[in-house]
Amino acid sequence: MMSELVALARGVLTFDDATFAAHLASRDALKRGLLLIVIVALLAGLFPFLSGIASSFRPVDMAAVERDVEKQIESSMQFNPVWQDAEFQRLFKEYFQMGFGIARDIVELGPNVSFLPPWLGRLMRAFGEWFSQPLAWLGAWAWYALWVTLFARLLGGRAMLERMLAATSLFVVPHLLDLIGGLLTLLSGIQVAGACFGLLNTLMGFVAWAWGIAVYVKATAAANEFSLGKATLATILPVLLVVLLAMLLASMAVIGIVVSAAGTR
Amino acid sequence: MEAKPNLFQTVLGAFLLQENTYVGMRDDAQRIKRALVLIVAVGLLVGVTGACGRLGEWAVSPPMDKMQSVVLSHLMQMPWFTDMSGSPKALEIFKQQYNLGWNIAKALGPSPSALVGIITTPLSLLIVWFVYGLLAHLSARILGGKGSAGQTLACTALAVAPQLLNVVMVLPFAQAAGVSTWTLVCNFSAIRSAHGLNGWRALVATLLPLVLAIIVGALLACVGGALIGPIIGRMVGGVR
Repeated sequence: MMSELVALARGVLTFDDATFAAHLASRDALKRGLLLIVIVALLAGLFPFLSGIASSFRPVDMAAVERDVEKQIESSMQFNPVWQDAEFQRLFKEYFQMGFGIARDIVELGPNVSFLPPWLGRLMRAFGEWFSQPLAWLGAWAWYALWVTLFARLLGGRAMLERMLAATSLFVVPHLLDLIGGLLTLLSGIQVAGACFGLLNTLMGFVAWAWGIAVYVKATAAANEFSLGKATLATILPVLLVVLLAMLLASMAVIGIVVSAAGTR
Repeated sequence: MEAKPNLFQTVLGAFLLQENTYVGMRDDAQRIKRALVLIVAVGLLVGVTGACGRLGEWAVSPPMDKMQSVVLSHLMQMPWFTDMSGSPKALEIFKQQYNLGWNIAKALGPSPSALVGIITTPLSLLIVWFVYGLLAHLSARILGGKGSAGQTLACTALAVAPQLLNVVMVLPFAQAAGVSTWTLVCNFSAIRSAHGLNGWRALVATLLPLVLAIIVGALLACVGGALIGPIIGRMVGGVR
């Protein structure tokens, strides 16, 4: 089974026509696709999960968390004109410290079952979040595939839903790069050299994303037996529709505000 | 004669959208009995695992009552609280709203009452299945479907299979996503198999009950708002 999956992954990454055709012809194509999503999602979250386990045994250093959050807020707000106001900054810092005071006292509270060690909750959270990741990927992929199937059918595609789900599940293979991305995220915490790892991580994330989309288009074309042009259109149409709807709603809101403002004058 | 698939094979086949699983259920002489067993078994499994996960979350979380008093003690030190304390009415409204917020948080947060889910999960799955199944049957018949109500109910019972994704919640703090989407996909397969409809008609028959539910929900919300709004208005007015 594992060697089959490795061969499938290799064929998908090289856009091998025979691999896509064989996958679609297989009786358990959907099962294999779902398995791939679960495995890749678990691998992508492996290093953050291991890091979460390691840090769950250390007591939470609230002072360090406070410093980090403050630094992040300051760097994200430095170009905001409101942040330049000294009075606003003073008020913000005052309430920020008060908020952190609440968090500090809550962290010090023991669990409901008092004999349980305080690290157990953090360990359970690390496991819970890691195992939730495949389901989050699965949900997002299935929802998007429904829309792509609809548009592919409107464009003359012949694939039924099951076939499209089995085909598009292959998009996940390039996301094996996210495993290295997870490692790079951890390394980006290292002083000085961390910036290089962070940059490399962003680049790898982009490569995985673009490669995944290319596989998605190829899979859509193979499943529907139509051109790559139509497959590209079917793949991007759901996103385009959402963007158009958002723009339409935004313009309606602006028109509404302008009309109501004119009416009150 | 081919042996009937067991419960696990049926659930797995339904989850993987295997045509023979849906057809097998449609043509089974004891389909309603099998559907009921399937829903109750899945509901119990999901209910028990979910309750275990929520209990685990509750066990390792800090007590909500203590959190409530910690937050209040900090709020009381803030400058705006001192200003507000000058007005006893404002202080009273604040206390009411503060307690209401925490009561909602306590109701939504993990607690030993999560054990009730062992009973309510299978019950709610049964109710949703029955109502959705009947509405989907009507929609499918209007669109030219040929299946009987029993066949529709039996096939739509298979759409309970994605609920098994919720089993991940046996782990505290885990979240299951994609259950609704996959349930929709299973319902589509179920209606197509039960009624022999083409893709587009099966899609409309699958979505119609949901659209109807949204419209009814919106209407109920409007009626509820119209009834509760004046009561809240009177309460707020009374406090002023």
